[in-house]
Amino acid sequence: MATPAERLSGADVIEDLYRRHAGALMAVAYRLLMSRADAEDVVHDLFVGLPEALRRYEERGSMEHWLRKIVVRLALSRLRARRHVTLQESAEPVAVSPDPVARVTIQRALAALSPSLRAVLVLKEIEGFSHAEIAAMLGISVAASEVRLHRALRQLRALLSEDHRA
Amino acid sequence: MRFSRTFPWLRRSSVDDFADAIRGELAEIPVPPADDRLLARVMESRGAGARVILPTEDPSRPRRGVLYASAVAAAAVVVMIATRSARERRDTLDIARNSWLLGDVAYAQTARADRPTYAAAVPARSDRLRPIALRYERRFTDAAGRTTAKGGLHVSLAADTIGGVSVWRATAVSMLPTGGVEGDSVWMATRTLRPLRAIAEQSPYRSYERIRVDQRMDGLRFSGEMRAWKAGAVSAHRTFDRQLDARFAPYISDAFTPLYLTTVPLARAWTGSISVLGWGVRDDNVFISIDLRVDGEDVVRVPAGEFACWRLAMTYAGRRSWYWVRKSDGVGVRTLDSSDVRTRGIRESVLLP
Repeated sequence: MATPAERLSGADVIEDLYRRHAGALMAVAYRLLMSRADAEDVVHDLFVGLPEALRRYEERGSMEHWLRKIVVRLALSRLRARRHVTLQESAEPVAVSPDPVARVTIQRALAALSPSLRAVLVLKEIEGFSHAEIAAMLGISVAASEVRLHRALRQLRALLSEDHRA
Repeated sequence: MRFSRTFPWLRRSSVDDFADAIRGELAEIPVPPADDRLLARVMESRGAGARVILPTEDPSRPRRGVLYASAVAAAAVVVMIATRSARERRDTLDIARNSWLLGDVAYAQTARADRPTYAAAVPARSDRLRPIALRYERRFTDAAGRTTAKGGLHVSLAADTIGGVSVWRATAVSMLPTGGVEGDSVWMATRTLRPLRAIAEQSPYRSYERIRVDQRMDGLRFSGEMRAWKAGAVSAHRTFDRQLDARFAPYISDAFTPLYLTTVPLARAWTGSISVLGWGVRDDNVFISIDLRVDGEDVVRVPAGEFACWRLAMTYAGRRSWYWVRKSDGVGVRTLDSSDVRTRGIRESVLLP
């Protein structure tokens, strides 16, 4: 009788998991990193390490939630690593629709936030993580997570207002 | 007011209202797809033996029970690595040198059956080379952002002669994170920058006090000898004589890699391939072919200052890492590699003042 981990660790299962989850995971990584290449690297690393990691998967929560948390941790690690880099073209526009002006403007504003603020904003408002989960992933307190979210929203609104006036 | 129609919710006063309004807009930001190309890259990496230990637990504030389990798991990992290292020590003398550009597993796969992806990155502007001395710091960081090891690298380029003929000599001295020292010198033809002779030394080296590899390059012929010392006497000796594959030229010694792109005119979307020579003693440590692509332009802040740089994506043996070179002179400013399965974290080099 195969264990859950053994059932999940076959090479063909990796492809199946990729087909089912990679799109959503790429979205999480991209929104945090605002770089297609970095997001691809994170998703690549996740699936390269997945067969071994699946042995630690306990099937208590959903597979997608578990994978998303790992992607977030990988992306945050990458964000820390590139802290010395100031991107001139930090947002790499991809296909835009249905309102290209609005989408690109919001994308640029999101990219202009500091990585620590953007991380909380993305994790809370887009990915739906709780402040407790965000605090654990970032190594900060719940209160700090709440403060960062408030600051991120205020800065995002200010950035969009500046763009609006320009 | 164009944006009043586009972003009517900007006029909302409360941050909570703004959050409610922007949530849907944020979710609509387009994201790149996870396509078959990326899946193929994953499969290629797995096939090449790459492994990544994923952060399945949050690095901070572990619960007591988890803390104990983590300690046991960490010990198990150390035992696995130590056991493997001991096995490697017994079986092999020279597995891989510690490359500044590529890390310490780059030479595990050197003999590729296919061709480089891009055209050869030939040194079209070797006239730009000048004597120079550079210092780099190397940092190894774990998944939680903690620095786990540090090292340093001194690189210099000077004019020299071999048999009365003018050549360039590049020297690289690495202070390894393990506490050892590795020195590389390469002598190159002034115009083509083709390596003519090279010496690599490392001390200590595994169970040896010192190892030295003398290399000679004559066209595509790559020959030389390795000696390793114990108790002051030569304890191991091997020779090698190989023929390099012309398709993978140009061949570059590791000591010269921080300066090589000073001689290659870079531009947006530029691509090129090079091969970095290994010690050459073992069949799987001859060279590694690297595909380079200018992926973007960044302003990079390192201890030496803030520089406008080309950001290059480097692909080799199923791995990808990043390399920033100064636009002004092509000098390497920073490397970043999070795909090194041995360090299990991030390897970074930065230029020092």
